[in-house]
Amino acid sequence: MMRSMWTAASGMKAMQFNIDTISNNLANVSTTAYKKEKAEFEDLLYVTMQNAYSGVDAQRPVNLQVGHGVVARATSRDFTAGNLEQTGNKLDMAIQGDGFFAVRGPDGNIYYTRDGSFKVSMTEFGKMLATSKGYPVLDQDGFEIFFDGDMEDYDIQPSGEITYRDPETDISLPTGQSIGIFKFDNPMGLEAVGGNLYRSNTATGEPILNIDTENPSIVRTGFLESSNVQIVEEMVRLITAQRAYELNSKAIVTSDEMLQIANNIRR
Amino acid sequence: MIRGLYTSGYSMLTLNRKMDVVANNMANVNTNGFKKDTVVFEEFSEVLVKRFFDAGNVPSGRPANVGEMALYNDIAQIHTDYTQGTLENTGLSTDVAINGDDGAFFCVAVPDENNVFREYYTRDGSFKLDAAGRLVTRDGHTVMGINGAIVLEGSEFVISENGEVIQNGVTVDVLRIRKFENPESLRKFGYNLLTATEASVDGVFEGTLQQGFVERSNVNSVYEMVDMINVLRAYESNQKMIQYQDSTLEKAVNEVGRL
Repeated sequence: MMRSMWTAASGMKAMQFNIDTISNNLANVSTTAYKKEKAEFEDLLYVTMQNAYSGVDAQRPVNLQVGHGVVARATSRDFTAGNLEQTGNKLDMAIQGDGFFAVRGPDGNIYYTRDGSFKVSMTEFGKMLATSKGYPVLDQDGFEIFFDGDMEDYDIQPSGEITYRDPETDISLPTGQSIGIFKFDNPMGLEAVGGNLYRSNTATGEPILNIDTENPSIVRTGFLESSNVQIVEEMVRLITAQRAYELNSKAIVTSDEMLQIANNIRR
Repeated sequence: MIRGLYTSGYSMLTLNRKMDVVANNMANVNTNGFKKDTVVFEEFSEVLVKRFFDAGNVPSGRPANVGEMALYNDIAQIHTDYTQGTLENTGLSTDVAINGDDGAFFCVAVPDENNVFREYYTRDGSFKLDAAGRLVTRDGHTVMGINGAIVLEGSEFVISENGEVIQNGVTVDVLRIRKFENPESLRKFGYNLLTATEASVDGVFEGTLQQGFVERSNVNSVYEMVDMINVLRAYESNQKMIQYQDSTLEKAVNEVGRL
């Protein structure tokens, strides 16, 4: 039938995808350390139309190409920092900078997250620093972090270093462990797996230890990073997506009417 | 049969094609750097109409000229409008937009089936970094600097208005911007890419680069809607013309010969 119908259908599909992305952003407006996503589109292939008397002229000075619509090509994640929200809880940590915490998932793989709402989990080896789901938070060398004695006596320094303050002498001593913070050359390549976790892959490059980078990230205890979704921005996007959807549906209706007109030539 | 029947019929086919173009514009209303297409119609070469059968009225006995007329119309050209689209602020360091020069494009190296790199052009400046730290398009094609690929360390860098890519105080490379005096000579390739043709003439880049912005599509939904309504109504009138001509034929066939 008419090419314009399929073209417009591709437009509707792409806008649906756009709205899917926007609603996911809106749904995560209060998710700790959520990073907003944006759908990106590209036009589809072009074909040269046959002109009635074009014949074999390969080098026309002007073009006669018609496109086949649009395709949703990527969702790019915006890793700009969200606002830091003060919670006063010592085990809540926010990263100032572009690093990530490392967490060991239930499948044994290392995942990365910006969500620093950590808890203490009781394990057979003692108190362990873990995420809300109980996944162990890793130190700079990829080991679990355990605490002995009273949690009150432990402090986390801005560098991520964990120190122990002797209650009797009141002297702070490094424990030798620090919260593992890693950076990526291309954080946009990180693959979201849900649960505020990301997985590194070939696109992100190898994780780089925070202290080896030029502008090391800083750990802020007592703060949590809020979502970086801007409601106004999402609403504007939602409106344009909805109107574009409508526009494409109108193109389908028009194409349909044209077909109907063609069918009615013979009365 | 009646000439006009073919004229109207062909016109409907042409309008069909225009609808394809309008629908493509509408589908790409949210595509970064998309440039809208407009359809230019042309008429077929004119034909001379002569009076054959009433030659008796003419003293010389030769058929007299009635005049010239064109019988059909057709699509002559799809003209791409390279006017700049709106710039949207994204705040991302890897997003760049060309401002103030409609004929300027970013250069992208794309391998063909024989793995030979060819240069393509794009106005879609929402770039990414790949695992090697190269600036690439979202399809992974290398964005060209004047010294080849632009290799960066992380996403903290500055692109100056004249295209210098500066990281840690060092100019890494300069974005290669190609300006065409006649951008209408370019051909759309799809995937937001354009190719140059032999007719393309280079010019001097006069715009600026804006980091943290992307150029939106220059499709205006109001114009497209109006265009679409136009197409629909013209289609309808051509259909009506066919029907009228059909009724004339009906009369000729069924009534003239009635005894």
